[in-house]
Amino acid sequence: MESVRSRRWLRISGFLNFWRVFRKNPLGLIGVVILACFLFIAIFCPVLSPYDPEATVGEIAAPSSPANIFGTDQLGRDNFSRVLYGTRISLILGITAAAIAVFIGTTIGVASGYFGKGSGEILMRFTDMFLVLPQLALMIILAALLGRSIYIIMMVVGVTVWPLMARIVRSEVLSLKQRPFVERAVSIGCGDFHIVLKHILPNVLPLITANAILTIPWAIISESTLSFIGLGDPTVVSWGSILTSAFKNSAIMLGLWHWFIPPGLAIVLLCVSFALIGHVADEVLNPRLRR
Amino acid sequence: MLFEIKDLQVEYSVPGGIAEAVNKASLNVAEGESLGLAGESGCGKTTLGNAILRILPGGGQITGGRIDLNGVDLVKLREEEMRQVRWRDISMIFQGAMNSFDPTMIIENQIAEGILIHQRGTSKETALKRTRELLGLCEISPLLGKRYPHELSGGMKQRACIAMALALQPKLLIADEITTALDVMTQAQIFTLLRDMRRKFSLSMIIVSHDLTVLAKNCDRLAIMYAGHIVEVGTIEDIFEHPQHPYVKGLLFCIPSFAGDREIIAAIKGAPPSLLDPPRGCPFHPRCPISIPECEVEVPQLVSVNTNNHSVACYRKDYKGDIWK
Repeated sequence: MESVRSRRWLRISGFLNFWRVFRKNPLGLIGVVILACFLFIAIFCPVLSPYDPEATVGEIAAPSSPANIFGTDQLGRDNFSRVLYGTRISLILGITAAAIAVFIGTTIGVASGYFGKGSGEILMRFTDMFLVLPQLALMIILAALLGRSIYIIMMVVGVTVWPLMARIVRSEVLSLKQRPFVERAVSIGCGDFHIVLKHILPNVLPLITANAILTIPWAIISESTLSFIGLGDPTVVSWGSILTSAFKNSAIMLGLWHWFIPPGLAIVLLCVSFALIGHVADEVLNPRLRR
Repeated sequence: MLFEIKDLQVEYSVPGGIAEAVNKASLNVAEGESLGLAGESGCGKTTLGNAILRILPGGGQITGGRIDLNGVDLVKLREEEMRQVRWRDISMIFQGAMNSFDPTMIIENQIAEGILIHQRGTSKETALKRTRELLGLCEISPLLGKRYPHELSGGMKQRACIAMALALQPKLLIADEITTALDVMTQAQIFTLLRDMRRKFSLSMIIVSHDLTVLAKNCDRLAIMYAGHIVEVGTIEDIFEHPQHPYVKGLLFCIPSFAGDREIIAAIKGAPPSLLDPPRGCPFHPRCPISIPECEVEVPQLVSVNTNNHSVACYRKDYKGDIWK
């Protein structure tokens, strides 16, 4: 019992240590604040938004007014509510796609790094194949083939960004494998599976975490790109889809800046926040990068 | 005889060819006996130790000979059977014990790991209890088991390593350069601890080191390696008082004496041969001042020179003159 409690305490104190170093970096703090705002919006958007994002509430493509501060779109829907709801989709999508990428990338990276020659090489050539394919083209083809559902887009984004993750994880595993504590584990009589799970994975975890955070903005931008091209899910509100409708209805020509600036800015801000957090986390978790 | 190595051959395939890291090495260790394995860097000491546990790094391979533990040839075991032997029968304390703990795991879990792997069905509590006993036995506070490796000093980690090596009460313990990075005081304490453990568990040990004084103090017998060959084996007394092989004589001549007059220490001229392209015959003949044509033809075999099992691999073992003055 005592050991359980102390172990939990070690884990908590580990996080506190991380936070202690993390918060010293103003850039990381800015990232956390921005992300916290977006999280707040994503959770409470039904309360915060004045209208149902799918309901027609005013004139078509109306300019900004006290009732619709970001104006309305081509179907008379409130742009402000749509941007708020878009936060939810973008966050969920970014995190899910990153999780898929992390899962595939880590599995393949660890397997090819640990098992080295033979099967490892085959896995890496497979990864290289994915790595050299132009990601955008691959995404477009997959999205066009598989359909225009938001879940498929999550899959498509996840499946196209894992190779980089696999490469990074593999190189770390290759170096970890040579470390004396792995030799110790082998000589104790640990099996490969045990070593990978108990000794290799915990040691690559910091690297995976930092890279996972950096993968999220990439996933969000990818979704926006697909939506903008017209391969997004038409039934859900995302920042990308708001941008598309603004573009298709000549919002720029009509000077309806409040139609396309807010979603664009939201994408940039969210991505910047993740990038800041990711870089600072990388710095904290990998002391060699600290200045 | 508890443990016997016979004509063991270990090779590394490296980009430049094949390196014979251990060449026809034969050794034996009796129960409760401590054997020292000495030689300069790169002579194959560590390789020999790793080969016994069959944990050679990539490219390394046992190409011949046998390793008998109580009559079972370890070379012939399947990998899965060998995994059972590791730690249960033969355990090891590594070169650079400082790094041989996983930085992400607390010490006691790492020691308990070995127990849990080999004794299926043991509860985690039992394993941890045993771990704390072991830590106490090795004179570190069982509370330190809750620490991460980086929170311990080098000497503490080394003790923890010993505790780990003793976890399953193995028959043979291989200690590979275990005190190289420690200061003299800690070194002495570690070896005292090892000696106590050896008595307590009638443990056999192979102590690998390049430090002859350490070995002289802590071993019953000594084997000297040169370029992958074992050139001389004997009791501490035999080796230090009556060395037979010119290389061993040279080695001993290199130990400065604190008590005597100032004197110049003679170095053995030349450098150890490349293992990729070893000289024909005796590996030492290019540096040996008393080599004869015969030395260049065939590798000399270990031959007994007295009743004590003191054996030497040299054609000129009967040479009485002063070689290194």
